[in-house]
Amino acid sequence: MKTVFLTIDVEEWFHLEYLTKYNLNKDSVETVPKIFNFLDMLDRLNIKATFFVLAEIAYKYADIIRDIRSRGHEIGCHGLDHELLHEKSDEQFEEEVIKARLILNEVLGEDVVKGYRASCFSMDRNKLDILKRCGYIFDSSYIKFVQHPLYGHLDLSKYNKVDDLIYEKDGFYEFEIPTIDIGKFNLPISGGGYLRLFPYLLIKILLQLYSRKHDNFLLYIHPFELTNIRLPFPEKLPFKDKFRASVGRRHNLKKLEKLLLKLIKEGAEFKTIGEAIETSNTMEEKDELYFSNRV
Amino acid sequence: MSYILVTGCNGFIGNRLTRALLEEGYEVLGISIEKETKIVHRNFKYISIDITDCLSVEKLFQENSISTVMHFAAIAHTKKGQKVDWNTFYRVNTLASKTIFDCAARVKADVIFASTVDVYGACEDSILTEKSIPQPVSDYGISKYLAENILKEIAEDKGINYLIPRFAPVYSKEFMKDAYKRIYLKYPKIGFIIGQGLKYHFLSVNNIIDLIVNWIKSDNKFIGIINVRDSEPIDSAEFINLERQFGKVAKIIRVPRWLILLIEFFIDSMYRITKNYKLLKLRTILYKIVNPNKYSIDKMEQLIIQKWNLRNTVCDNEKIINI
Repeated sequence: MKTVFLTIDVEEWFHLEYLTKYNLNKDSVETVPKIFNFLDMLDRLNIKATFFVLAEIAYKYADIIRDIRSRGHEIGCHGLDHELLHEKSDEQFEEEVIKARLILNEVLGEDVVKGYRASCFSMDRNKLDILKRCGYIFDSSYIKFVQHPLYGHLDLSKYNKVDDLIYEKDGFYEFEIPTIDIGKFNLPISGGGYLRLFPYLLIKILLQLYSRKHDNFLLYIHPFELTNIRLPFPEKLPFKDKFRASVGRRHNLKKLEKLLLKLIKEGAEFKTIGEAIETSNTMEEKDELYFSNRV
Repeated sequence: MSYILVTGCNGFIGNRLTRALLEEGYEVLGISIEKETKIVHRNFKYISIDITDCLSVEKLFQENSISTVMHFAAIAHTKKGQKVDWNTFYRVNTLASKTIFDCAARVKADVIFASTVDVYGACEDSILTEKSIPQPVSDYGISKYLAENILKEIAEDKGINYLIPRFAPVYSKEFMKDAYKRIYLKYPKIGFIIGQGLKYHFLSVNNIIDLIVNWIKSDNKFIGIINVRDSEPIDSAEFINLERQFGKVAKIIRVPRWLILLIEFFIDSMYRITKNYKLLKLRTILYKIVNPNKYSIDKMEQLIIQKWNLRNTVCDNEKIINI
């Protein structure tokens, strides 16, 4: 594996889509403030990551977001709220992405938020174009997993594939969330609940299969998956949803560390998405210069 | 009108300090997480703030003129009876402290940051001076040490006066918990003495107040780190006898020193093999039980003469045996 992009969607446990229809005790447990063990681990491993932050919790966790930034990580936007994008009009979306970016930049004290990830990867083409118009330079919501009812089906026509998982059009980039083809199915292997659910050995095997055809990998995770603090589920929550939210959380941080160490050992370079774009732009400029000199 | 900001003004030390400063005629702005305070004074203003809310802390500095910051708000051991994890220690003791120090630097306020001798941790210097290299082991000690380093860096960069007192375990007449840890297995029924008794350094809260008030009044302020403790150590055997005279301590267990040393040696060996951090913590605790730290207070004695000790802080009865 050449390059790995580690990404974190900074949201609270109660933003999980399958929990939102219940009456939740949102104030009793916070998982975002349990993120520091994970941040310390990244420091130890010298890994820089991209954190997509939900703007509606930015003021509350301003100190944490600033600390993430001060450790050298990249901050992106995960939307103003966590509603699915197909429930928003284009006009509403445009207003919200502008506001969300302003909030995050205000908290950070600098204009650094350039990237976006849609809740539940629910991006569509119109809204992707809106992002570019609003000053973002990259998105990372594209996933080829049609079996999931919530994930978007993003049309990337006229986008050029510039590298494995990376698409570009007019200076705007889309970073794909990887899946692996197994027969006629696509299996997500990029993190989240799948990282928690699959035993480590299975993840190793799947990654090995994946790396035969791919140079780049992207991993995503959420703060609630990095702590084993007990979540206050409502009594009426079906077992299926309790299982989805809870499975594998207890040892997930250790499992993730093991996985990251394995990737480092195999020579993978960890980059933020912004770094990858910069490198790509620099390479393009060098190519242009080279060819213009030749002429 | 310029305030002295006392963070943690409702806490054990912060409350007494606030009252002492008010008696000295200072205008004090107190903050704490609780909705209310019991301190009432015409020169006192109270604002309820969670110091992890950095935006509110910044707003506090923008809306109030602050000349000095006395930062005592912290998590020490438990929060509302619940054990605290590293994430909380770091967020409250380190990150929130950084916010306060940054704000203080912006307004060129002097800063006193309440630190702890816990920062010395596994350091085995026979006498711990301010030049000893801290090797904190507890989450509390690590979080405080990180905050110390942040303050030093900010203060040196922005040219502000600062004092970092490292407090030995603090006691008052009403609060003896840290001192009791050294003599009670189960308060107040079962006490213990190791060997013939060991000498521990403690710190009367009244000495802290005297130190801080002295510092703030001084025209030529001492800048840097100082160890802070009572001038004389307390012998655990004599301490437990004093407690017995108060009618506490139903039973005393004598623990041979060699037994603790043996357990400590075993755990140390296991740590050297496994490098398990929890074993290092346990080993450090046991080591400190039988080798109580000795802190140099040469610097502190240049600033104040300690008037307070266990006897005059805690005892009312003149007939009590001298400690």
